[in-house]
Amino acid sequence: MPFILLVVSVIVIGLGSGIGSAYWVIRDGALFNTMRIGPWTAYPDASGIEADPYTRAHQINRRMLPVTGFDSIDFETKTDSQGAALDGRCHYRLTGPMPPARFWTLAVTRPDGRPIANPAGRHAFASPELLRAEDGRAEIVLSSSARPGNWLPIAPGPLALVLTLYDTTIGSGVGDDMVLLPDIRREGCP
Amino acid sequence: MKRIALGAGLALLLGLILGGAIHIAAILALPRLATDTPGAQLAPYLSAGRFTALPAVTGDGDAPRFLDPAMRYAVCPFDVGERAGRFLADLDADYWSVSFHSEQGWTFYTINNRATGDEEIEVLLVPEGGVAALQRALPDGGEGRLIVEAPSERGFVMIRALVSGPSFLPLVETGLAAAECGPIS
Repeated sequence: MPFILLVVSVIVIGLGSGIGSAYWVIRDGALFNTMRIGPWTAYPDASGIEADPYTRAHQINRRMLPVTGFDSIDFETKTDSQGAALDGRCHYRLTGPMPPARFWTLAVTRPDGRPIANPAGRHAFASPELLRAEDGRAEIVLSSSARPGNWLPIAPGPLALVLTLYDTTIGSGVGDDMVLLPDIRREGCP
Repeated sequence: MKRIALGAGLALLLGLILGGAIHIAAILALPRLATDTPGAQLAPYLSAGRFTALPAVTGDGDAPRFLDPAMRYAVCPFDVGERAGRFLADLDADYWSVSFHSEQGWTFYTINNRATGDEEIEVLLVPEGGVAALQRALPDGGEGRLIVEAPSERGFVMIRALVSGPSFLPLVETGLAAAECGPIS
């Protein structure tokens, strides 16, 4: 094999595998320090100054690095519990357990983190505002038309949901495999 | 035939070694090369010596992207190169916290209202290894005061407070406006 051919193949293989693998790891989320529960994904302590290089690169690439503190964690999803992409034309019902945290908020955005303009001027729901059903369950409806009860407005187009828990130990590693998060069910599309 | 196989194997081996080095270099370089960091997004709101409230999240979308719409925020830059910093906040909200970040936005310290029993939060910020020097300089030896070491000379402090409903907003805004930020006197 001529020497020049060897050098060229080494460079091609090196660039391809190096850049390809770095891109894959950064785009799809850190291989390390990732929590997935149902459709929800979180990166515990990802904004911490001691985050590992993979988490750091991934967070920068998301362009919405959460400047959260060490006492909170945000879970994000772009799909419902069945795995279908969230679609602003449909309406959805969030039910089920909220994990142990002093407070939580649920925000709805576009997948790139931009808020969604809506006439109600409402972009998030905070746990103290929640109206509970008689049996104590929490339900939140996402819909582009106003609904009674716990309602968060959405608008046509792709969506992302961000559930942030404040003053919580979730993400510290202790008991994280026991955590349950709400179910997101599509209830109909026009 | 054998020589070609040997050459191909060698090319693959050396290529993957080079690929590993490029992979590591790319991962380490990205955060350093990034310009669209939270610190950069916050730059327009960082004015020395006072906390500046960030705009509320609206559909027009001028606010920095990583904010929680249910919270209100205020930020203030720090520079502990010459003098220690002092930060004081006393908010009336169900949940609020004061967090400390490097220039790019990485968090190095957070304290929330539960830790202080809902009293005011005062934090003194010193450069790395500066705790003892500050304690000597303080009249009471810094007894009972919260002193935090900053891993970098410059960065910013962020207060965030939960707005538990529209009627809580004025209290939160007043609290953010009254927060103090500056060098220790």
